[in-house]
Amino acid sequence: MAKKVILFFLPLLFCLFLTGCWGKRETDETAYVLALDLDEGEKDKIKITLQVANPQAAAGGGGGGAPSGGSGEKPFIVASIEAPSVIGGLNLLNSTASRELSLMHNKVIIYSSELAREGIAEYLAPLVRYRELRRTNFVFVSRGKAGEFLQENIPSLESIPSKFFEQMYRSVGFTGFIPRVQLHHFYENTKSKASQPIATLVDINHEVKQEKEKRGKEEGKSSAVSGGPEAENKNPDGGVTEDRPHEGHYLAGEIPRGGVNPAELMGTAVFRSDRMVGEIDGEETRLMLMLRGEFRRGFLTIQDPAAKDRIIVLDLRQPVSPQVKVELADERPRVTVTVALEAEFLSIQSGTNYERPELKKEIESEISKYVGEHAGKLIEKSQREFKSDIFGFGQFAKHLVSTWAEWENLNWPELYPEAEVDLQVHTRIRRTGLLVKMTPVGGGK
Amino acid sequence: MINKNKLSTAEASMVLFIFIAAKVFLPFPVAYIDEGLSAGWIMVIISLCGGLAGFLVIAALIRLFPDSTIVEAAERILGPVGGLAAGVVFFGFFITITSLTLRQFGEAMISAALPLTPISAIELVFMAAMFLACYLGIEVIGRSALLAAPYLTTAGALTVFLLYSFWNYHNFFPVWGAGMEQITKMGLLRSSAFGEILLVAYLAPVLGGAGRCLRAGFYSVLLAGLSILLLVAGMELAFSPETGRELNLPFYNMSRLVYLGRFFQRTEAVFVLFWSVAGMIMLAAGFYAATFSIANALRLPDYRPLLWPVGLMIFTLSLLPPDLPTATYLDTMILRMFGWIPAFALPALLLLIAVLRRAGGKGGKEGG
Repeated sequence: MAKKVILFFLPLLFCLFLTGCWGKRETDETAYVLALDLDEGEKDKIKITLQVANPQAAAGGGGGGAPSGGSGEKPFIVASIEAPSVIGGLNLLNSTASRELSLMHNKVIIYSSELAREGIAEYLAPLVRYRELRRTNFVFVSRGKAGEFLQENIPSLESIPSKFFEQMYRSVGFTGFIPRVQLHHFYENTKSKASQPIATLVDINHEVKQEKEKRGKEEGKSSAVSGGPEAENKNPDGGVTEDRPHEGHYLAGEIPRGGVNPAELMGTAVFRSDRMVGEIDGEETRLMLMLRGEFRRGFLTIQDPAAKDRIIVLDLRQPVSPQVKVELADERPRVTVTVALEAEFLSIQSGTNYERPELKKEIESEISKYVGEHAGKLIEKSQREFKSDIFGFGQFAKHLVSTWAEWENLNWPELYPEAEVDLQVHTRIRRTGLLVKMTPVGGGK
Repeated sequence: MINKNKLSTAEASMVLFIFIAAKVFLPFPVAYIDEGLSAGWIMVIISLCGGLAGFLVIAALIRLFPDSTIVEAAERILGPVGGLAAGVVFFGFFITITSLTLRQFGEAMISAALPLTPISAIELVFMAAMFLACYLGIEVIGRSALLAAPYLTTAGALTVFLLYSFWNYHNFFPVWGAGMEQITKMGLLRSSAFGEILLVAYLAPVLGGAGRCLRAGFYSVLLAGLSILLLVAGMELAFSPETGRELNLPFYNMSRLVYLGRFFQRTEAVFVLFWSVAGMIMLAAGFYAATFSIANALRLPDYRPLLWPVGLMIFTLSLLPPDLPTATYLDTMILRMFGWIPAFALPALLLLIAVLRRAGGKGGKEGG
């Protein structure tokens, strides 16, 4: 009987362990970092800028840059410090904060382009090792100065910046103007010989910032929200020209627009190993994603072949990953890439009935020609200017050898700039939207 | 040896399966990537073949002495002194496994969930559960294992498949990774990963027959091998050899990587619970194996009085390595490299001598 009583009470004794542990951290003792920005330091090796959630403002229920709950506080606090290392800097910053900084909810790691051009391996490995940071964090490269992006990024539609970042990444699925890069992918590629790292390019649009400040002064408050969409087209007559045939030809910080949030994500930072070696714009990013098999969907504007002053807008999709074949002939690699695309008509300004099967082919070949030509130029740029295989063709080159030693000897990063790339694009327009043809304005057949 | 416990084939299979396969939650699987590179998964298949071959040796010994434990069989083959020596070697093997596993599971809990908790406190909680389970007997461990196994395998498989957005099948290339010779050699040495199957050689009396013993052993080795294969292949899909070999706790790293949109991430919090359960069952099985083997070697009628001293030894030994890298090194580079010697080579030697001396047949008790 005594044994049964002991056995009954023993589990209850274990319940005592559930009341807490050595490592407990209450939420009101913790400050949650949402974004981490790294730049070259002036007084020490590295400048670390943090965007920390402001629970007071969040509790007010306000959204974005709007004064929250009448308190006028931003939903985040930006703090910076200079230190010899990233993790050491966080600890140093903790000595000035009442709450313990936690990276558990960090969403974004931003490297300044200055730092990225010098190589970031030493600032990357500690982040992968540190248990609080996840490999699912997004990786950005900021074209401007450190901290500016975090300070100025006040999303108007989201309550907290971290949600803004995640929502922006959803846009990869329907614009393709930025790559979706998580710390895991980035770190993998810095170590790989088969493909090179890329990161999302971000910056502050200074025109939007100035306009916002001007508006704020006029209205007597600095963080006024004008309402309406974040990105209204500032230059609706921009149109399609030979120099700028498509809407994605911008780098972050250069999009001609108005709005309230000057933060922009557009284009890609290109790396060779751990060093940034260049930038590509939004349109090139789309083409890169098509060659990587990561392009899902985006609207494409092309010139009407029959009326050069008119445009045709299509909803472009990539139904399958590209077929890539790498061969080695006389020590020079030959890469054959076949990209398949599908499209749907969204707008035909000229009113020509391109929906008709015989005319549809003309547009299909126009799309294939556009993608083929521009993607070809991008491949050449990656070989000549960047010397960086951002498309991951090297992954297929690994199939050429049977052992790791042979792969090391092949030295793909050295071979890639010499590779001959044969690109074929096949496009099929599958749907025509909710119209099957257009009749002329004013009547007629 | 008095042992009235009865174990079903399914329960025994699941105890042995978890005893072998729970090491996927520890740093060990990284050794396959480190040594085999892109062919790490092929190394697992070679290891599995080696493990099955090792089991066949043990199975042959069980067939020869169907009602005896391996120590009783050793006594009949080598005499009392030889039998005792073999028993002590097997005890040493099990106690090494259990103490190193205890340390690594404790360290894994610190790395994953309890960063500021002292290792001794975590180990004491594990020890309490191990002690309770072993005191209640192998049938309790068996039933717990049978209950937990479906959830553990589902959680493990889910972790692998939820990472599909990170899969890169090119990581399997070059196909032969470190080279055919290297992966064959290391794969066979790594058959030590299945050394825990030696426990089956103690279960014949409680399982009630050699046939059931062999079925339990075969299924457990096969299932454990396939589980390790699934994890290593999943790990190779998500991590290239260059970064996969850097990982400390591969399974934990994999569960941290799960990211299916804004609403499905941070799954490691759930999986920590599964690890703990797997760890408890594995450690309880190891504790039982170590205690039962030494009691058997010393011809004690019951193993329970030895739970305190053996438990104390396991706890003390687990704290001997000064740090996690040392514990991992001892486990990966010593125990899982040469564990085949006590687990498979010694039974093979016993089998060889038994065949040469034409020993065998029923009646383990008179030999024991």
